[in-house]
Amino acid sequence: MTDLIYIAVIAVPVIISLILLFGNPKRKSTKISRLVYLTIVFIFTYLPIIVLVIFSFNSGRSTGVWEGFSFKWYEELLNDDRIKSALLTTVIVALSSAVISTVFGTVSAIGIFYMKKIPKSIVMNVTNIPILNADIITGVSLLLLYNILGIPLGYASLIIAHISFNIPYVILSVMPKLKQMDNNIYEAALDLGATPTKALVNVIVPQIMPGIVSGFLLSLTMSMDDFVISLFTSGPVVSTLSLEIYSMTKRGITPEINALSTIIFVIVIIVLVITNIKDPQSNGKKQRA
Amino acid sequence: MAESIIRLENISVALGGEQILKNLNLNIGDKEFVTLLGPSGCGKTTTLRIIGGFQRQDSGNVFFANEIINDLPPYKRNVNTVFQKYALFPHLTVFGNIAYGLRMQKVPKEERKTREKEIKKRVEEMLALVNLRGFENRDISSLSGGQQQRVAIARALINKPHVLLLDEPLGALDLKLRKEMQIELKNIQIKTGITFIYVTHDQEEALTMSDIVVVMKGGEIQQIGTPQDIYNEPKNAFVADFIGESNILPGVMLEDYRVEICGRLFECVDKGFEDNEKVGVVVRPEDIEIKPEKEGFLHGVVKSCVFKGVHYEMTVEQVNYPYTWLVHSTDAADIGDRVGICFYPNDIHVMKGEDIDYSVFSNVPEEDEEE
Amino acid sequence: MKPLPKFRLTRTAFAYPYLVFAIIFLVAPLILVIFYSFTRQIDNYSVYKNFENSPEIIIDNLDFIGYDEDSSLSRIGTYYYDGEKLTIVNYRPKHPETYRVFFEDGKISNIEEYDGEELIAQDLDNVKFLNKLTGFYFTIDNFVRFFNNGDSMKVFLRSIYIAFMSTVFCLLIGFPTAYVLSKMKERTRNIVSVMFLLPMWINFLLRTYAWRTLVEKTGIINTILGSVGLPAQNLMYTQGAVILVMVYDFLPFMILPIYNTLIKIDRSLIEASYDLGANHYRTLFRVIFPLAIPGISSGITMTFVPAITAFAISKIMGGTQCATIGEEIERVFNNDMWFGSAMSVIIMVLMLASMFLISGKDSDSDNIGGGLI
Repeated sequence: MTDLIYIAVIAVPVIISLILLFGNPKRKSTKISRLVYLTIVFIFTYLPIIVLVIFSFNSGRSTGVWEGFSFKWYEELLNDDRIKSALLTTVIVALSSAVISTVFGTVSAIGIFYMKKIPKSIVMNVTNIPILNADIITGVSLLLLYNILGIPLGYASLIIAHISFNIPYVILSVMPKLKQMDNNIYEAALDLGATPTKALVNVIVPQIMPGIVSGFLLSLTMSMDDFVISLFTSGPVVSTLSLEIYSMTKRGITPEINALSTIIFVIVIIVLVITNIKDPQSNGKKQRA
Repeated sequence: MAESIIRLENISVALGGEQILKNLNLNIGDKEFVTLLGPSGCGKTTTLRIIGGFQRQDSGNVFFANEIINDLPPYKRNVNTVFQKYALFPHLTVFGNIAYGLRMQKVPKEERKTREKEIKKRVEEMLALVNLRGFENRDISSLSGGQQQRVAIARALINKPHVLLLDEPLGALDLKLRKEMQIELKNIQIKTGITFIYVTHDQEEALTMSDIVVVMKGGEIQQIGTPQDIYNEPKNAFVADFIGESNILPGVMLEDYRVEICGRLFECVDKGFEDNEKVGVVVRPEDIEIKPEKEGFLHGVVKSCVFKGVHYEMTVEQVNYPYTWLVHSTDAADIGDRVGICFYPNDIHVMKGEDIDYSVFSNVPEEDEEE
Repeated sequence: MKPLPKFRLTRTAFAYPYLVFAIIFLVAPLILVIFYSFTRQIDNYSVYKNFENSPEIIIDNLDFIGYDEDSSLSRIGTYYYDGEKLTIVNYRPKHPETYRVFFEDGKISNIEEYDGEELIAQDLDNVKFLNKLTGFYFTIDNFVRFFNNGDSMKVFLRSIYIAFMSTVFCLLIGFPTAYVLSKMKERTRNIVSVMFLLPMWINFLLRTYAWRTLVEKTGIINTILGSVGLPAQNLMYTQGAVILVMVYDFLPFMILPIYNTLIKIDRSLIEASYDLGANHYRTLFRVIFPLAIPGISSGITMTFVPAITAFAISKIMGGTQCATIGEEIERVFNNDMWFGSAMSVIIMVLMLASMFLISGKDSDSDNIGGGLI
């Protein structure tokens, strides 16, 4: 019965908009229905986030019942050692695994790029494994590996796990940049007297820089957001923010964690706005080029 | 011939199961402008890459001034390259590109202070050489094709290499610019006295610029010679066909200075063949004269006549013999006219020709598919 | 062999450390999972000592598949007796039960369940626990168990159903969204598509938990319903709630790939379709939709695959009755790696099959995940 309610709630507007919004774009009904549709999807997307932000200012303990406005949970956050240490762990793990994956992944991508066709396609298929595979299987299988190799669960196992699922993202973002690069450029550098290492550092790396940067950002994001793989590979002592939140969902969440994610969310928005203000300049540069 | 600077000895290369170079031997003299000429896939670029050190031969030796340099990596060879698509460093300015070679050199500590000044001076010299004064701080991407070409040449020359390798450097330029650059390249070569090894598939380019032309096909050298030699005395049918347009037809060398073509006896200037030896005969279309029917040695019917600017290009189907002649003539003729064909003894080039497949060189105009 | 020139070697050599890394951390774990799924552990319980003197020996922790009360000795499995020690090969050590083993002439004559407690302590000396992980044997028991077990099959089918429904809803909502987005001006659509990605920066557990606040019995939706005078709905702890949150969580993964293919469609193709007299609906079905298929299929893959193993969402939204296969794996894995591995392998096979079905034979692995990068 409840399923039917959900289906009706979601399907009815979908069907109406399907008919309307694929119509002639010059017709007013199309324009309005597109706007309405997008608004609905946006409300759907941001509803829980708005709720989350609002309840971070709740004065009560509940994340569902409004009891009054206060900054209490933001203050609480500053004093909560568990959350602070979980946050610190998350940042340490995310940064270290992203840095290591970026360096390691970039160098590897260059090596893979120059491989012969068949070994290259084998390596690239292997590289795709963590991306295509379900997180839980990656986590479980790494746990088995750690068992066999006798690696104790803790910081090291967690960081290695994060590196192993981050590296593929770095390789996949660097690879297209290498493909775009004129292959002769490397040879030109050698020709002009650069040793392979020098050619790598001052010719290849500057050209694939955009790929390296996006690989790094992607790694950072994936690492911060990961929960399932960390659950299996972190062991009992080390806890990331995701794991901390997960254990809270069992005990009951306090608005404290809402406060923390509100802060993170605001920081992300600020960073995005800043980069977007910078963007038009770099776009202009590209167009001139 | 000048003193040998680069020598290839029995070089063979196979890539992906395909034999690219077959037992290649080539001697390149100092300060010469040598062109490797051939259709695509003939192994000319591979030869260049072997000299540059970008590719390793399967067997054979590469000599540089009589020393084997097989194992010398490109950054240790006194050879620089101008790449096909220039391969300029897009993240560096014109100055940065040209100075790159100098910056890669090891410099003793005491000279480091004056180094930047010297680099600046040298780059300016190079820019002057390629007529790009004042372009130092421009972005590579803001340059035109011709300008990028010049930067690539300047960048390759700044290290004062003994040999400059050029891999179809003018391929991406339009016709007019190409002609200008041909002259300029030749001037640079003369001015700097550097050996140029130039790869192209454009026979006109090869004939214009080179001291020596090396015609290649299927990984083998077909002929080595001066442009005049190559054009006037092609060693085989491939060279004759590839260099310029030509009529190639079978003949029989009856005795010295006498050759039979199309069932008629002609006087010629060639000798040294066996009596009654089957040969191939080359007659360049511009050497043929079209005359009224009675005055010609051979007779034919004009099948097509196209105006080409300098001359008319005609095909003339011979009467009584299955051959269509290609003729370049300053006079036009109407299609269907019966004309006489004339050429003189020293226009007849005879070559060994037992196994020539003449059907390949037929001049029969292709029928338009639409008709 | 000719020596390779140094510089050529150095280039591919950059990848060598990664190859080692990939074999250890990407390939080996998967092989291990497959290996575990086809094996079970052998536990050797060795009984030393002079059991001639005490014909009864208590063996702790003995359990085996298919044991029933009337079972004859042959069903125990394997036992060894070399005159000095008795080794019983045990299949499942995790169910602590106590058995009495009777000997006659140095051979086991009978085994029966034993529930006396004081005897255990006294006779435990007779029971030696040797090497817990002494070995393994190949078997398909794990898979047989999965498919014979009504509970795990139920969870399995439920996961497929939930993932399927989530994917369908994601597609129904996502395609029009991507379409509308793609029709916007470039500057606007860049900003809007970033706005769709933005929520992903909030931990997904928190976003899921926020939905709980919305649909709880005393939650916001019910409060609103109540204030209008409608009866409160029991939305929590249903499959519907789980599907709702999955649709919410995975919607960006559906929108982005489709959006990316839609904006790459050559405008002139669409214009040509109008030019040839097709109206907007015809153009949609005959031109835009077929051209968007690669994006749609990678969107489906990127939604279905994580949805089927989704973790924690069903726990938070559906409680225990809605457990999905992901949670089942996690729960089982702590007790029985072998069985958990078998479940993982089944999931992998299912995912591979669905990827193969969705993206067709000429699937381009670059395409999958391409929406994100």
